[in-house]
Amino acid sequence: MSLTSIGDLARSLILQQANQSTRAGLNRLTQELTSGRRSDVAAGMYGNLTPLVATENSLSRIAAWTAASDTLRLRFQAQQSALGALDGISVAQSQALLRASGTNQAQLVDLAALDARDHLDSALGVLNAQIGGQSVFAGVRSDHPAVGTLDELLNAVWPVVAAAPSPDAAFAAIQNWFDDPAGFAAQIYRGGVALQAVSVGPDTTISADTTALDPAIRGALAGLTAGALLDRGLFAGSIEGRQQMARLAGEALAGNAEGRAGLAARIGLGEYRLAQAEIRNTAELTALGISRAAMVTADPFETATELEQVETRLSLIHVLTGRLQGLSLVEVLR
Amino acid sequence: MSLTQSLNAAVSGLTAASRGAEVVANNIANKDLKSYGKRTLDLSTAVLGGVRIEGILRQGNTVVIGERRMAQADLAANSVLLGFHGALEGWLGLPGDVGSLGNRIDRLEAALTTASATPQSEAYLATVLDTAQSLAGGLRQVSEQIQQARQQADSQIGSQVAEFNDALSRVAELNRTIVRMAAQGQDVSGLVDQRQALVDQIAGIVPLREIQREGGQIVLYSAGGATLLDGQPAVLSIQPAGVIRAESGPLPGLMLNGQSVISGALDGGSLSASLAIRDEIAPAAQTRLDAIARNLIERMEAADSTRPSGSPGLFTDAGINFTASNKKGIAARISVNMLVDPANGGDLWRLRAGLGASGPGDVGNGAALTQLANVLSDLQTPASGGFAPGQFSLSGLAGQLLSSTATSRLSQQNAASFAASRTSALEQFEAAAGVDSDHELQILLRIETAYAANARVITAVDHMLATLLEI
Repeated sequence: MSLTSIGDLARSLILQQANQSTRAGLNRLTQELTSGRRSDVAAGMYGNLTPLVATENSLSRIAAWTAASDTLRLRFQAQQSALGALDGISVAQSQALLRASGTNQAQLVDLAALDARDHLDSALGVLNAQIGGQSVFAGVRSDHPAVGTLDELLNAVWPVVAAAPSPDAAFAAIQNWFDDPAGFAAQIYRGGVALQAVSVGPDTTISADTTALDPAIRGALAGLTAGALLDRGLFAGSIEGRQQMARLAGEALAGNAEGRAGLAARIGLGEYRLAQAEIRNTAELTALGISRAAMVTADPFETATELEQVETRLSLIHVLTGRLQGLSLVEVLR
Repeated sequence: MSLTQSLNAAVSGLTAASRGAEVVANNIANKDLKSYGKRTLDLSTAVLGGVRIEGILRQGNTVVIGERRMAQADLAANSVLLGFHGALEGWLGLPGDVGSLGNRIDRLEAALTTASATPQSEAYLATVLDTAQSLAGGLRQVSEQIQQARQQADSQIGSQVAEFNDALSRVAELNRTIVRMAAQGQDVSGLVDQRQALVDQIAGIVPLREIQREGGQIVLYSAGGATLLDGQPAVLSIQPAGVIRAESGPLPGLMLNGQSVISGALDGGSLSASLAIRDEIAPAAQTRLDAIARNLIERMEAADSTRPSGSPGLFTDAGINFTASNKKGIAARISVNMLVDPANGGDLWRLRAGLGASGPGDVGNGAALTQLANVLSDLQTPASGGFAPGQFSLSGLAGQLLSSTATSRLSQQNAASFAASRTSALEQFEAAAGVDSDHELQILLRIETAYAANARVITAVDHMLATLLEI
C-alpha cells in the first residue's frame, strides 16, 4: 500500500461523521434553549439523582403542609372570633347581673335574668360556629353542632337545682353539673374528642384542639346558665335568694375572665406557631426552588454561546464539503 | 525472428494495458463500497520478452479489519445495553415530571398529609384513593415495560441467531467456491469482497477473529474461543421463550451445535448483550422494582392498626394478602385494596377510619391518615432488592433505583461513544487504503500512454515487415 494514495471514502467518512456529530449538538442545544431545561439532567448530576428526588419530595410535602396550614389557620380564626364573642357576652352579663344583685328592685333581677337567658342562647350559637360546614368546637365530630339548644340545656340543669336549699348550694350544683362527665359533657355537648395534631412542617405538628368542653368555656356557660335559671323561676318569691344567685352568677362570670383570656392566648400561641411554620415553609420553598433550578435548568447564555459555535462549525463543514467536491482530477481532465 | 518477438512484446503490452484499464474501471466503479478491496494489476517481465500478467491483487489490511470488527462488536453490544438502560430511565421518569414514579409517590404522600388535616373532606379522601391507584398503576406499568423489553430481547436473539446461521453458511459456501476457483487460477476478488461483507455482518452479532488458510479460505473463531467456521459452519439455536412474565423462571439458553454454550464463549457482541438484558439486567431491575412495591405494601400494612392480621393493607398482592415468599413480580400485581374503592363496592371512609374499622367513626379523626402519611417518609431498611446498605424513605428508595439506572446509562453511554469513535477511526483507516480516484486516473493516463506506445510499436514493426516483403 502506497502512502501517497488516500482512498476517497476516508475523506467522505470524516466529513459525514463531523456533520453528524455537529448536527446532534445542534439538536441538543436547540432543545435546551427552547425548553430552558437541560436535555440530560442525570448527566449534569453524574447519575446521582437522589438530591433531585429529595428536592421534589420536599417541594410536594411543603405544598401539602401549606394546604394543611390554610385549613388550620381558618379554624383558629373561627375559634378566636367565637371566643371574642363569648367574652363580650360574659363581660356584659357579669356586669348586668352584679348590678342587679346590688339593688332591692326585683324587677331589675328579673330583667337581668331574661337578658342572661337570651345571651346564653347567643353563647350556644357562638359555640356552634362553623367554618366550611365544619363545627369548630366539636372536636372530631365536626359534622355535628358542638352543643345542644338553650331549652335542652335548661331542661337538663333544672332538676339539679330545683331542690337546692340555698343559692350557694344551687350554684355549686350547677358548677358540679358542668364539671361532671355525666352532666354537661354527656347531655349537652354533641362533639367528640379533641382533634388530632396536624403536620404543618418537618417534625412540626399543631392542633386546633379546643372544644366546647374547655374549662374556660364551661365556666362561662355555668355563669350564664345560673343567670338564665333565674328566668325559669329559680327561688321565685325570695328576693334575697334571687339576688344572691345573680351575684354568684355575675361573680363567676367575672372570675372566669382569666380562664377565657388564657384560652384565647393558647389559641393565639397555636396561631403564632402556625405562622412560624408557614414562614419556614415559604423560605424552604424558595431555597428548594433555587437548588432545583440549578439542577435542571440550562444556562441560556452558555447554551446560546455554544449554539453560536456549533453554527459556525456546521457552516464550515458545509463550505469544506463543497470545496473538496471540486478538488478532483476528474474536473481537470475534462 | 526478432521482429515477430517485438510484435509479441507489443501485443503483451497492449493486453496488459487493457487489463489495467479494466482494473481501473472496476476500482472507480466500486469506489464508494466499504467492503470493496482495491485491486492492482500484478505485472512482471516475461522470460521470452514482453510483459506478463501475474494476476490481479486484492488489497486489504487484515489487522485493521480485525480490529475494526472487534470495535464494531463492542459498539453493537453497547448500543443494545444503552437502549435498555435509557428506556428504563425514561419509564421511571425524571423526578418532578408528572407520571414519573417519584412524582406518583410524592403525590400520594401529599394527598395523605392534606387529607389528614381535613379528614372529613370526601374530595381529599378521593384524591388519596386516586393517587394510591396511580402509584400502584405506575409500578405495574414500569414492570410491564421491563417484561416487554425482555420479550423484545428474546425475539431479537431469535432473529440474530437466524441471521448468524444464514450468514455463516453462506461464508462456508463462498469459502468452498473461492478454493475451487483459485485453484483454477481465476480472479476471486469479487467473491472475497462478498465474503468480507458477510463476515462483517456476523462480527457485529458475535465478535470474531478471522484466520487465513491456504487456498484462500478462512477460518472463524469467536473472540471467546469457540470455533464458528472451520470447513463446516457452526449452528446456533435457541428455543423461543414465549410470553415472559415477571414471575417467569429461567429461560431457555443458547445452544452451539446442539450443546449449551460455554459461558463467555460468545460474549461481546449484540447477541450476548440481548441475552444479558433478557436474563440478568432486566430481571435485576424488576427485583428492585419489586422491592419498592413490597416496601410500600409493608409500610402501609404496618401503619394501619385496625387491619386484622393476615388480611391485606391499603396495597394488596392482586387483591390478596402479600407474603414475602411471593415477592417475585409483586410490582406487576400490586393493586389498591378494593375495600376503599367505591367503584368496587368499597367505602372511602375506610381510608380515614382504617381498613378493619367497623364503621365510619368520627369524621374529624385524621389519626389513621396521619399515620399513613408519616410512614411513607420513615427511614427504613428495605427488606429485599439488594440496595446499597442504609435506611431510606419510600421516595428515597425510588431515588436509589433511578440513580443506579441513570449511572448505568451514563457509563454505558460513555462506553458506546468510545466504541463508536474507535469504530469510525478504524473505518477511516481502512477506507484510506481504499480506492483513490485521483490515483486511479493517474494510472489511467499512464495506461493510455502505454497503449498508444505499444500500438505505435506494432505499426512500426508492420512497416518494417512491409518493407521486407516489397523486396
